[in-house]
Amino acid sequence: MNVSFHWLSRFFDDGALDELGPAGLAQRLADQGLVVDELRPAFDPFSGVVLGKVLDAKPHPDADRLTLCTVDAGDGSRQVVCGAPNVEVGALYGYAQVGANLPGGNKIRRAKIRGVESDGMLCSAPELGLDALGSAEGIWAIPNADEADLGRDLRETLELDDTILVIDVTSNRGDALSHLGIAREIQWITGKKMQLPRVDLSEAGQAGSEQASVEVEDRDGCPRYLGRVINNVSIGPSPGWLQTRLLALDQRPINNIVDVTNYVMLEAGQPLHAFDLERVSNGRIVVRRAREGERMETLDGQERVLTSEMTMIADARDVVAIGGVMGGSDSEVSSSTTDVFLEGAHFDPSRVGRTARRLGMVSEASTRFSRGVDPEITGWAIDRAADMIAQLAGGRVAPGVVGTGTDAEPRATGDDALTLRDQRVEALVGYAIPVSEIARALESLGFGAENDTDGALAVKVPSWRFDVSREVDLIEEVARLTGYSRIPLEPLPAPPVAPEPAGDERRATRVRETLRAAGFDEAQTPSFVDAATLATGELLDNLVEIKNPISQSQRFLRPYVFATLGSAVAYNLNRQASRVKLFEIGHAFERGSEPQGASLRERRQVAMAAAGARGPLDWTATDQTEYDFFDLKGDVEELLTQFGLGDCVIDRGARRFLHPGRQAEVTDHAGNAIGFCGELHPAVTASWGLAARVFVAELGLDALPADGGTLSVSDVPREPAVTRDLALVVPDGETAQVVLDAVRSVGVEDLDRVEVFDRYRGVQVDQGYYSLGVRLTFRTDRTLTDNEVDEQVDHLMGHLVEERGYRRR
Amino acid sequence: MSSGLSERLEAIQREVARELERAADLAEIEAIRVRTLGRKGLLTTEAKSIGKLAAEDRPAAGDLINQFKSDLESTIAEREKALGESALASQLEAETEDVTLPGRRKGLGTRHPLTIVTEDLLAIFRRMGFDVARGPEVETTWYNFEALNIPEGHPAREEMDTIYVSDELVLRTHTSPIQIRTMEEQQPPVRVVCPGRVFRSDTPDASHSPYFHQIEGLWVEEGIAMSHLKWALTEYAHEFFGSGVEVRFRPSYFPFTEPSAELDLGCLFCAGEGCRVCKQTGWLELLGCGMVHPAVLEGVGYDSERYTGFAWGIGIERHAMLKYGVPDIRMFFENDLRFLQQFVGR
Repeated sequence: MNVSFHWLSRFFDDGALDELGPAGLAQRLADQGLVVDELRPAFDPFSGVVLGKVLDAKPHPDADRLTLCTVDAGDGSRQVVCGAPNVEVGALYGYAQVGANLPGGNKIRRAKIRGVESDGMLCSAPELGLDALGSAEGIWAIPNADEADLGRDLRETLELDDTILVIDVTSNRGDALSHLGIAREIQWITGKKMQLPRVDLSEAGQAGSEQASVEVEDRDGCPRYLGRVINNVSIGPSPGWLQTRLLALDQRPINNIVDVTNYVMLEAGQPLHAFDLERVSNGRIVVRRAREGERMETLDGQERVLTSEMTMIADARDVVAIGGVMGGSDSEVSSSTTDVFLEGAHFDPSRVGRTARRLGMVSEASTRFSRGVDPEITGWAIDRAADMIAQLAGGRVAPGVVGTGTDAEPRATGDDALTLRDQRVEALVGYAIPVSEIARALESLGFGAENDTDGALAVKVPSWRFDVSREVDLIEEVARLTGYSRIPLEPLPAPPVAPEPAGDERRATRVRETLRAAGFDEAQTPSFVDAATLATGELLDNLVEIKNPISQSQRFLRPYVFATLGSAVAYNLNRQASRVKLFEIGHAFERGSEPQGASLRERRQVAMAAAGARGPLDWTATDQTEYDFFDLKGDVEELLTQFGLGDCVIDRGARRFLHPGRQAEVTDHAGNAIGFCGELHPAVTASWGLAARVFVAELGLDALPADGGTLSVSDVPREPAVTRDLALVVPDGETAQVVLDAVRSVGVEDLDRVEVFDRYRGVQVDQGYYSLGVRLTFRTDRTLTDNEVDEQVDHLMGHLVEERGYRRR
Repeated sequence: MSSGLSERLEAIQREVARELERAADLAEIEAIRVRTLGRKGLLTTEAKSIGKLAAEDRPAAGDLINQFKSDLESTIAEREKALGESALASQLEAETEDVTLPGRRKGLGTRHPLTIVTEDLLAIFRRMGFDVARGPEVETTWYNFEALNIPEGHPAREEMDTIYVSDELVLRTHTSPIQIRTMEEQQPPVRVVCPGRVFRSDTPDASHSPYFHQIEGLWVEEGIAMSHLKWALTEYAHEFFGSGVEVRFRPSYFPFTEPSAELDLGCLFCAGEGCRVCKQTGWLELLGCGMVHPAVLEGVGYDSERYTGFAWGIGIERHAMLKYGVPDIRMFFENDLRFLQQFVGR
């Protein structure tokens, strides 16, 4: 909400706001909850321009396009050379005297133009920084200017020396969307009462009710509808002061009727609408629900399709306005209009809000109606507007208000007083505020506060405060007016035990520490994915679609965290990163199969993604190797080991988005799925525009134990161990896991540990076989002899040859 | 005494001294030892010859040989030790490394700045007595709106720019639903902070992202007032931004709190003088807070006459931007390594 400091001052006795000034006022309003985002001068500065009248105009002797004007600036006549084509004798203009400074640094000097002395300049609107009021092609005749002001500084006559306060009005404060509303708030600041302008309406001619009728069918959507008829208006531009005032508040001046309705809306917060009475069929106004699919053209020239949810204003034939939102172009006031029907109504806030959103047409009117307009200001507002129109457009106000709801209360506020207990105020704000001060604060805003029994107050809520319905609402009013800075600081009661991080937090912290140590940088990637970058059907199968995505490329929620983390790998590889190792802890989503709770499944995951060099550049390495599957598996194993899951089973998987031969499922020893790891399928990396190999892993965070469980330490072995290396020749189909399991399952007496130390495939091994180097460690509670160990190895080999068909190389 | 024994022994001694002088390594010294002191060595030969001497000469000859033997042993041992030391010295000399060459590193990873800020903030609030709770990012409209006193058609609901998954499910617009879930599960006192990712249908620019992170907090207990809110949030601001920073509370509006407030921070960049960052106001908007609306407490079955509480919500990205001078919110989600790796060691 933009407000004019000058206009606000008019609500108070002269000079009441002078001491505060705009900056002081802004500070006090902010303290009260009306934050002033910006203070700016209403218009660009200029000086030395006065109101001047052209007494005479004749052609320049030496130039066709120039005019010699005789200008009266209140103190005798001067000669001014003017280049504009539209000089009118008798009209009043902005006359820039010699020495004047115009916006943009233009300084006016005495000059000879084509041999003729020019004593200053007549100004166009843009030359005065008032671009919206006239073109640069001609000088700006100031409409309705008063000859008594000749020679007076133009900034004074047009009230240009003003400051605009840009106020951030919160959505609950519909009542503050007008100068009146802000003036009410100022009453607390100044301690003085504000006054609405007096309206002395004189009525004449044929009664309004004989010229127009109002029928409200939709009482819910429109509890109050008042109208006034003004006859014999002459449409034209508004006077300069009105145009500049609207302009300063970002309203484009249109004509003297529309400008008045906008002016009164800005003044009192009541949106008004003016119809050309002749174009309202039979002068009959019907307020009703629209018929489904009904069409109309609004003032902005757009055709609108209506629904039965919307409140319409219709005449005897057609829809003429969308209630509380916008008027129609058919019944618009035009230059030929002579009789005006002025509408002042109260529309249901939520109805207007829905209609405006549905039609995508948020207007000044709909914003105010949807937040709640004071139903008791309607009558004043149409009288005020009718009075102004009569003065500015020469009209005659027809006797009587046409309409309904004149006496009815559209909203039952203020009847039931709210109880406000001073001890409740204290309980909520934390210190005692005297009842007298509480009452004074509320009364300054128009609340009625009377002493109830028990020292409580009985508070009547004014009709414009839609947001106040219970005691706590009043406490907020008291707290903000008395000032938050007055509230003391009180330490919190300390809890008996300071809380420990929960399991979830400990897990996440441990994952972060482990992966950082392993060289992974933590990432935060978007939650949305583009289906086009998820090349395989498997990723698309259970995608959760967003109803109103920000863009087409963000239509789905990520099914895995790696799906977006991988894009971050791509981002960095595309920017010359030689080594990318990223991890992220985040949520992933998929559609569920069961109803409720399970229409969607959400998991908190840890994802890893790596590509490029294995480590930082290493001058000692004979060859700088690339990160590969076993690097990934090692990183995953280290992470699992951190959570006591070193005994996880990691075996071949079959996910279509991973390389078919380089992927594994991670399962704990009880068979619960923990996650997977592998090289991304080239089709997936290709869809990210990458040629590089990218390795990803994803584990369920909840699958990792939060606590290590109990540990009971076993004694350190005292006897030396004996090791034997075996090169086993095994069939190609046997995985290392199968071979190791086979070795362990023989049950060799003193075999303590089995580890892989080598794998060989090549000419020294028959086709269809490979060699797996296995280191056996034997240990028992005494020193083993070589013979004993050799016997055990022979026993083991016997079984492996017999049962598995393995050989020793 | 047998003529010539001592001369011969002295000759051996001189010869050994010469040979030791020439010996280049321990093997040569060992050869000298064998030749002189070994089983078939020169001194052994001399000792054997004692038997040929007259009985009365034998003891003196034996003493003499033993004396020479012991002298030779120590001479050889000395030389051996000296040679060993110099051999080790030259070995070590040969093994000298250029210690200025880089070490072999794995490359330490970094915490994301949003994690750093979140953990710092959670630590501050834990010290005050708050627990940490998390919740789902996809929420029901009931938890996201109705339970927080934002019924359908409420202007605040329209202003939230909500992203919908279905008519009943939304991407949570704040982490406040966790507060509702927490209150549903327990009786007061409730002291909880709720970190997490939230979503708004915003077009990305330097200060907007459709996904960002919040920490919302809630303390509900008998006897809690705005004075506690002011203390708690002033403490946090001083701990996070430094004890010298100014804070102010001013009235605002949120549907789920009443009275509501905004906390402003004295501008960190101009110390309140007015600059571009604070739009010449000297203040930075930091967070929204307020006393929990009684309708919210009543909604979870609490007695709003007996219990009061305060709540607040802070933006992690904003804190990280202010603390580390990050100019554009999108940098947090691009994950450019050249950005992330600046946070190494933090």
